[in-house]
Amino acid sequence: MARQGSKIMAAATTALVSLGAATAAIAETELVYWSFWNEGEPQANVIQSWMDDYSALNPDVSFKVFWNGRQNQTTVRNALAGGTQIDIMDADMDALSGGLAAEGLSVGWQSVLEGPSFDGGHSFAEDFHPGLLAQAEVDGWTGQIPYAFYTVQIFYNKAHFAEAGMETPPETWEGFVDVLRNVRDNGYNPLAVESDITFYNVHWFNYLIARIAGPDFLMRAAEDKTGETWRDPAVRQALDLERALWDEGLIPDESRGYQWPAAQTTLAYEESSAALVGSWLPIELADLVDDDFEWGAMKFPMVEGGRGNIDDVTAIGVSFVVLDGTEHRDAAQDFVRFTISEEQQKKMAEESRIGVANPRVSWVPELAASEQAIADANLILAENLGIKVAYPDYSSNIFEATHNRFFLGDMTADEFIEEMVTRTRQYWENK
Amino acid sequence: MIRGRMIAGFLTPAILVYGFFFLLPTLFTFYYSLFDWSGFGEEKTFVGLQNYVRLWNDYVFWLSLWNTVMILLVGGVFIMGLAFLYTILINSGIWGKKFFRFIFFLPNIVSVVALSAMWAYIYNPRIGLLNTAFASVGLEGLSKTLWTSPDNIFWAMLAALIWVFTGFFLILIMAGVDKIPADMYEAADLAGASLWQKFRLITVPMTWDVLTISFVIWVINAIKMFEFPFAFGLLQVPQQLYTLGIYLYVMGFGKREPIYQLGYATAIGVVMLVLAFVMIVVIRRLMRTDSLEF
Repeated sequence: MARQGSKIMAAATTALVSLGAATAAIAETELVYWSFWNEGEPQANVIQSWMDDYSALNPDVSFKVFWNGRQNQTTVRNALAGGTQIDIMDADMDALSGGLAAEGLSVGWQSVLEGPSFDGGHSFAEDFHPGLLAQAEVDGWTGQIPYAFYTVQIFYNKAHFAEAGMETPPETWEGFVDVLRNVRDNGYNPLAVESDITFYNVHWFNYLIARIAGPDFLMRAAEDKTGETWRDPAVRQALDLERALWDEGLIPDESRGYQWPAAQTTLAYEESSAALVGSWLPIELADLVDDDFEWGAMKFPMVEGGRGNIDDVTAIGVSFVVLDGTEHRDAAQDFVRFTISEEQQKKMAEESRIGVANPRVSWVPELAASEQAIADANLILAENLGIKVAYPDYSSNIFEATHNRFFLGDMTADEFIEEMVTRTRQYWENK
Repeated sequence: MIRGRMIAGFLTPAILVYGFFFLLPTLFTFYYSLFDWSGFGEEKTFVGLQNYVRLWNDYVFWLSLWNTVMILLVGGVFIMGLAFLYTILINSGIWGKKFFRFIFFLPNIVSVVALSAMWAYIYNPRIGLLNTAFASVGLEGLSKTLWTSPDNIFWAMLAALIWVFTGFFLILIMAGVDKIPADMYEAADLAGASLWQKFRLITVPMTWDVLTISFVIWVINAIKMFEFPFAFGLLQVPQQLYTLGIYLYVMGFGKREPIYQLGYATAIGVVMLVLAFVMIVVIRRLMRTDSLEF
């Protein structure tokens, strides 16, 4: 009896050990992912499905997720300081370029990019729209992998612009303003502007200065320690063109008091007709617009005699970073490579209705013009033409804030130029 | 001797907790303010007092300080004034004292985000409650006011902030007023004192300690003001609403921008601490008086 009992005990022990060993074999690697998205957001749901699919393909890999939301990089920074082990995180591309990647806390991707893509048949680097990886680089080094992004363009109500006589989107500033005048004369507010969102409003200046003086001008102005570059006639020309939009009533005066999302709701209710904003707008307003509402998106027009190119487009990306301290570098990088595969990118494009990194994947119909803009792009422009990454405090506290005061009529063009000269000089003296 | 040991024994845990969780971090804050430090990792560069020199020359810091001082002074005058006024009105024997006290205190139990969303609706230039109300009574000029334009947004935020905080100080001051013996007011009535005389000669002196505490609490609240102006800014806080607390957050924690200057941000924190300390000492000295017993 005792012997039989021993046998049963031995069998049970063997079974338990085997079960334990099997469990260990199935879940050898746990990747810890801290997310830029909030739980329940469409993008979070897609990423959860990526993780589920990857674990199904690789039973030895499991995931532990923290849905932190938009302050993810700051949260990760604090966690890293406390010694927390994190393998993968994601955030705004530019924020990462000036944060974790700039600090050298992300692993490099060069050898993986030169290797095969997850789908095979081409290199991993060819899984990205041309120019997108270049935007993710810091000093020629790639420390992040963009998986989704938005373009910044003029989004408009197709019906209003057709009524104003526009057959094809204008390619010149004069043509663009002519159409806006017609829209105004038809009884609509041509342009919607949120007064408080400086990083929306500054796109007007960024595009104008890039079209007039080239995409490198703003960086030169920011890096000129005397501040004198701000006196360049191109700055004055860009400011005058912005101001004329208000003076001609193409932006209604009451926009000075609009707090987000007041202006964009006027677009949804068809009181306004267009806005210069990211490609998230059609998705944000999807529940508010009528069923027959049709979105158009046009490239920012050229300015006569300008040095820029109409195909240069601003993009705002979201990237994965594999953290330098990871103990599962290969698994983490393989997972990220997996997320850029056609099947997985298609899920992101269709379910979260966002632009995706893989050029073989089509975007949803309302973003067709954005997709075309990216396909046509000679150069993908970073936010604030790169100064947001290189000099984030200058970009936010000085450039954007001062521009917004000018844009909303709180200062004249001359005052803006003087203030930028002075504060640029002070910025460098204070460094 | 035994009593002394007992006191020490009872106090030691509290002192240790206070020292560990407050004094030590405060000292470390000053220490970190002497470094150029992003907060990523341990690598820091000692810069001495350079962060304070930068603050001195930083336009946005002075703007934030100015806004903080405006909240402290203008906001303080209105909040304390209204709290006293409501105290007098509510204690004047009107019906529904508890109801009104609850109504005034209500903003303190509602989420700051909900309050700021409500005020965004009130101030909306097109469909806002305020402009619609002005238009409906024929005040066309006022109904066109852009309350949240760059030149008005700070004062619009401050008005809402006053509304939020008045209820809290109303409760504090009412608690003090309720403790004043009723026979003092009865005697004053018999002597023919006016409402103003009763307020000046009975209410104020008899609630002096409560007032002192209220001022101190307000100073602390005003100097570290963050939540309401931040939420009032909705998606992005305009610079017109920056307080020292918001600027500290922007410089140290990045928000949407990759600004990670934790050393500089802690220097702002040290300035806030010193400012609060000096203000509290000044208030307590100015309001020092013999204690009243009744």
